[in-house]
Amino acid sequence: MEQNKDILDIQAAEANQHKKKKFILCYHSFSATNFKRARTQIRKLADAAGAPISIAVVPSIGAVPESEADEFREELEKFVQEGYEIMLHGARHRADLFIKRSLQGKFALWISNNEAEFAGLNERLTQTLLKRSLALWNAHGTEKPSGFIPPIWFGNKYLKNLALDIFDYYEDYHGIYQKTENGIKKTKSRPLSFSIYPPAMLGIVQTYACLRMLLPGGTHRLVFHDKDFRTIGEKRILNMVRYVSTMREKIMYRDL
Amino acid sequence: MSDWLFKSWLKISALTAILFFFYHLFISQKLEEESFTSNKDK
Repeated sequence: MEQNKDILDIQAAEANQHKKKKFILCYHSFSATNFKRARTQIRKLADAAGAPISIAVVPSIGAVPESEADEFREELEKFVQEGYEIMLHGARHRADLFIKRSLQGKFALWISNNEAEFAGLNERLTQTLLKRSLALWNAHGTEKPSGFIPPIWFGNKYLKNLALDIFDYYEDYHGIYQKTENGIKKTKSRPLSFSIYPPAMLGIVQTYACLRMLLPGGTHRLVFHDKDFRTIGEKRILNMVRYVSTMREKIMYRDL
Repeated sequence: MSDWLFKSWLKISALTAILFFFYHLFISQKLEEESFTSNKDK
């Protein structure tokens, strides 16, 4: 009996090893305003994937009452205790429209509905906003996040290096970056996200995401937002996670 | 030469579109399947 169990364990380990393709499952924009809905969605995603997932947290509390802010902090702490990986996701996930930005940055704001708060900032403003983001995070009293994800993946030419001075990981549209002894290591990865697409395109985008996961290459990021649970629907999202998990091994940023 | 290249590109594009369409049908069905969810849950 014991021997059979060992054989099964070995077979499972081998099967996992053969699944060389990897992916990251990340829930984006977990915040004090949506945490009551989002905590259930995150746990359902983790159940479908069979392991805790990565969560990109917006640290700003906004105008929520203090009692809810406390509940949000407790929830964050609970996720950390349960082995979920926390990434910092900007400061407010909303751009300050009164600060100076490059033309590229202004364009990024236009196409992102003013959510790309780091887009087109100069070095000093980037540093200030990054520090503000970290200060907002530190106010929650939870341990330091693994990495930094700029809202909508729009950064600027200074953000990557400044973020990697503070965090272990940084990502943009083209890949995930981590600091090593030999400099910065880049992992090729595409974000497969659905929240910015109009409903009519969602079917095709889901097919593209599944196809991208099926084909070899890259450690792609499957990203879900609160909004996706209303537009795509919970059943399709969980089935997608299960389908992708049959083709690729789910990892976290810290496993890269 | 350019004519041959254009025709090849056209054929590859058409074939890719057909394959993508069938994969789209397969995925739409898979993501809607009740059994896929419940089997995996078991």
